[in-house]
Amino acid sequence: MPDVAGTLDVAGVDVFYGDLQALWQVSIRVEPGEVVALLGPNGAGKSTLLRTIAGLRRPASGTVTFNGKPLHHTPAHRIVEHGLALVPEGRRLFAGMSVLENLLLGAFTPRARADRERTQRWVFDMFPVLAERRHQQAGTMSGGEQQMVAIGRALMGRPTILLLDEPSLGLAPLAARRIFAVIKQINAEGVTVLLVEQNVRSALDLAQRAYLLEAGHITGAGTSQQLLSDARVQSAFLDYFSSR
Amino acid sequence: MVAQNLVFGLLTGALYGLAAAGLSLVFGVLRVLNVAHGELIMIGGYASFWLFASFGVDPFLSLAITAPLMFVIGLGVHQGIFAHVETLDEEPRIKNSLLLGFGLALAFHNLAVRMWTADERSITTAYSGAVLIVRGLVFPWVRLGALGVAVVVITATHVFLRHSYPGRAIRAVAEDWEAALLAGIDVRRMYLIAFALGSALAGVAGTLVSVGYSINPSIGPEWTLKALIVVVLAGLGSMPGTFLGGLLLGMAEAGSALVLGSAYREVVSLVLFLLVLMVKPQGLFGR
Repeated sequence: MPDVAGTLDVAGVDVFYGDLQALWQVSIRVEPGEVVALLGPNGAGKSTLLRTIAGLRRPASGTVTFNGKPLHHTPAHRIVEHGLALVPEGRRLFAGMSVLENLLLGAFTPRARADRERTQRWVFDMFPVLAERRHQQAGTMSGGEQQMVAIGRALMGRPTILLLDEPSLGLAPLAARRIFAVIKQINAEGVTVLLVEQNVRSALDLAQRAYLLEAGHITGAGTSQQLLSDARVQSAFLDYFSSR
Repeated sequence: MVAQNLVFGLLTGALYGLAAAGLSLVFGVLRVLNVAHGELIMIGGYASFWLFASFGVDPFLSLAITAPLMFVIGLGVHQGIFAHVETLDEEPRIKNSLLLGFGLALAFHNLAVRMWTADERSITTAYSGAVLIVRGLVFPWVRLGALGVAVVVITATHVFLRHSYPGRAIRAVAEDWEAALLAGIDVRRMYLIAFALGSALAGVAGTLVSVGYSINPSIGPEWTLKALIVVVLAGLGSMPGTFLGGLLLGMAEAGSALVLGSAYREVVSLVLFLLVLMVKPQGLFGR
């Protein structure tokens, strides 16, 4: 279903909020077809990095390249057209609109609109509950269902890479598992995934590789196995989350 | 007597509703409070008056010119003025938009005085005095026509916002502009379209005011106030709701004029405004 995949390359990115520097010379790379996790404590800059890639923030220096095309000067609303979609933290649905309208808006760009019906069938196959509830107001659905709408809306833009910011945040364990299964399925169908997730173990189960982001710096990188046995990851996240 | 008063209230209320529709659209989408909205109504009224006085164009037909004209003026006002504040955070955005709006209102007011003098103007057509009488109730045809135009325009705007792709995109921007950006919607373009559309709605309202009632360069603030009261009364997010809010205000004013005397008309609408703010701040039909 998705178009030809591409490589996402973030190189030496500095991002500021006013005088405050949030990201310091951050470089990451995501190859076509991969699931890559971005791990780190709260406030490390994970969301900032995803938002910078999606064009919502401008890097003061450094480059964001996707498919060989530089994106760091591209207006945010044009980035979807390059095949890159972000599912933002907190889902950010158009809560007063129906599920179907949310999906329609996901296919707003001309490229996606031309293929809308086919993409919509694909999304409905993946999330049958969205087909059943297509006329329900999105804001009245459960958290898990809302997350599905958010992911579905992003998929309607026909991305080759999907950026997910905390997709399981605030969800019941069962709903969270369902979301992880869906991410796996989306990836199996050829969509590259860059995942920010507080549930470190689930993220590393899903991802082939991961980066560690702490206080705005990339402090580690490796395969999921390497990171699972990394002492810092163990002490910083796994103990914390398994103790909850 | 009572029924006749309410009829007039209803007919006036249709214009309140139409005046509020544009303000509500602009505020809901851009989060910019355009206090010069009443001046846009005034300019729309003068445009029709001028077309009628100079070229004999029927005021209802002149809508085909004034509405697009006000749309274009809206494009200009947005690009020249409000586009500079819409990237600010919500609070400074609203505050700065107030300042810009007041300045713009002054400018429009003086422009109108200069171009058309401060005299009271009204379009008097051959059919202006004609009335429809049903069971003893008097319905002036021009005001009935105004009601009809208002219903059609509100319905068309509603259908556009609900069922067209750009209309949905405008609503998406109103709900969450950042999520709209992520969906590939050019948010600033939607701001521009919404503002121009709001101006066109003001223009239509202005024409209807100039034919059913009268205009002068100073009517702006009064109409802005009425529109604002209706927006608070009805809440954001629904065109039919806003229109209904206008009808309600018109009838409340007429009813209170009957009971308390017309001196208290303005007081009643402001009391209504405060009551809604205290009891149901999201408005009667708002989300």
